[in-house]
Amino acid sequence: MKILLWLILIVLVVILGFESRSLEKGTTQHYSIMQLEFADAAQGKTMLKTWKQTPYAGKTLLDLVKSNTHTDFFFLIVYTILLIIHSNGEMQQERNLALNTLLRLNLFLAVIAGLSDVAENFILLYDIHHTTDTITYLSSYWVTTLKWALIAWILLVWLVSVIHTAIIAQQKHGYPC
Amino acid sequence: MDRITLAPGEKDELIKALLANTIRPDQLDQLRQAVDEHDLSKIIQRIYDLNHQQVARIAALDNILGKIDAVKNSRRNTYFTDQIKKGFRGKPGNIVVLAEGDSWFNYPVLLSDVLDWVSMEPDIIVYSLAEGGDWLLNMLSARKYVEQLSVIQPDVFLISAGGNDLVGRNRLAAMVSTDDATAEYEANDWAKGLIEKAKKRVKPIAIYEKDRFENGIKYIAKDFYALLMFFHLQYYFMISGILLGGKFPDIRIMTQGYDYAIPNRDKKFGLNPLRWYRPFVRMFLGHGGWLKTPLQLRGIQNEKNQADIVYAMIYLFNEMMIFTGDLFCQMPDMGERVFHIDSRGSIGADGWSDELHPLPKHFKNTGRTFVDCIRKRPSDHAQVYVVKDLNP
Repeated sequence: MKILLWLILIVLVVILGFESRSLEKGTTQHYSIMQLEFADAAQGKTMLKTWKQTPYAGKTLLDLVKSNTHTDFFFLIVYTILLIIHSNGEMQQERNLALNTLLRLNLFLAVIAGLSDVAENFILLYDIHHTTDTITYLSSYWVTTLKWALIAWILLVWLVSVIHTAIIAQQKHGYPC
Repeated sequence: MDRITLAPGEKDELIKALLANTIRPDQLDQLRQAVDEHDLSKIIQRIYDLNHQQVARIAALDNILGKIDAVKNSRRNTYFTDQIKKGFRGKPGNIVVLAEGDSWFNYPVLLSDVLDWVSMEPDIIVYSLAEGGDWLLNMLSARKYVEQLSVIQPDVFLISAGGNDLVGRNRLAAMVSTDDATAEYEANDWAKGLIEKAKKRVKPIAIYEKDRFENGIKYIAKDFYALLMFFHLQYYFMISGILLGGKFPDIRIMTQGYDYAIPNRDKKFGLNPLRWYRPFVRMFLGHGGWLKTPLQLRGIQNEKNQADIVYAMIYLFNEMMIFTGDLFCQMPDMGERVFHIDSRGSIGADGWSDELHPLPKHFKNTGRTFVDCIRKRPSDHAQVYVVKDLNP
């Protein structure tokens, strides 16, 4: 299960990476999806307008952004499950109660991170849909910040625990076979 | 202690007396030495007023829960096998454990249960057969532990069972009475003997709260005493099968007896993010349905009375486990082979994840006490290891 999810994740990363590179190369400003996620209203509108005016494979770069956002829905499901699986696996080995508790919190935070990504994607799709509207724009800045902060925290806790359990495991396996 | 054969009809009479809560301690001794699997099956059918198939059906594990537990066991047992392949058993001092049990040994995903904490020790590896929601009845009839005992030849066998037989499928409702049932306790010299023995200990294992116990006893019906004696017979049957067969000359067996759970339906919503899982498990995993609902079903509404009933039941259950272990310790040439991990009073009122399962830190304390016992740390109470004393 874990291996299968990692394989799917890798495939999705390759697809998303390819689309992101195409986007960045497509304009002289080298706008990226990440920039759009953190953009304020003025920057965001400019980026969307630029992509809409740039042709790409018979359509425009804005269609590529849309496709990228759709793919991201699959990506977020997979990484959320992987964060949960790895945090849970680590939790069952973590002897330190504080770290064990933080790893348990990771299970919840991973779901929140995934939901933040869902909200972010809906905001981006909403903005893409309203590109021609000069007034309507929702910035995804805060949900994006929340998402990345949570993911960074989850990975940090996991990493600290992995190092901690590795030290313990050193004791466990440190006998002559 | 050899098995005995009773005259035709005599065993049936003893079983009838057990079910009627009129059996004397000496008769229970006789029955214990004569009982077989068929008798155990007969007793449980009578206690539950069901036939064999119906008993098997109500004791069966929930399908989804069973699958989640299987995932956890699979991960644990893969790790166990990996360690064996790496030569774990070659090093003196390393300890191989086989565990059979219920949700205290295998809690799905959210909590680190007792076995998780035991498995984290560098010198201990655990092969787990435990499944959340499993009944002692199932464990004995499925006999998975018998096969694995022979294959693994563990140094230690851990068992946690009985809780689901008592509280599964609203069974608790059948164990209580709204009329004053103190006479049922008074009629059971064996159960009274357990409490007298507990009261006489110079250094108590668990504090005996007379008022709570006597209040709880008022509501406990004769079926509970039949079940308690049935547990005693089952555990004796299981342990004697392992110890007296001669196949496992050095194995040590460790039991556990839960803590005083508190019947309630409180969801425990709060602002502490570190306990985010508590409302979650209370909303979706059966909280309130194991203790509170069956007691209310019988019209027992007062919260203090509800808590006292569980107090008395858990007190007796633990004393029964200690008594059962003592029987083996008193056998000639047996030595101390059967141990009991006593969690009574270790969790406290706010230490529960839900009605039946403690917060991870309390699971850890019980797990640490198992580890103390596995590593032969001395206990002030001989073969009983008290969580509250050793890992407060």
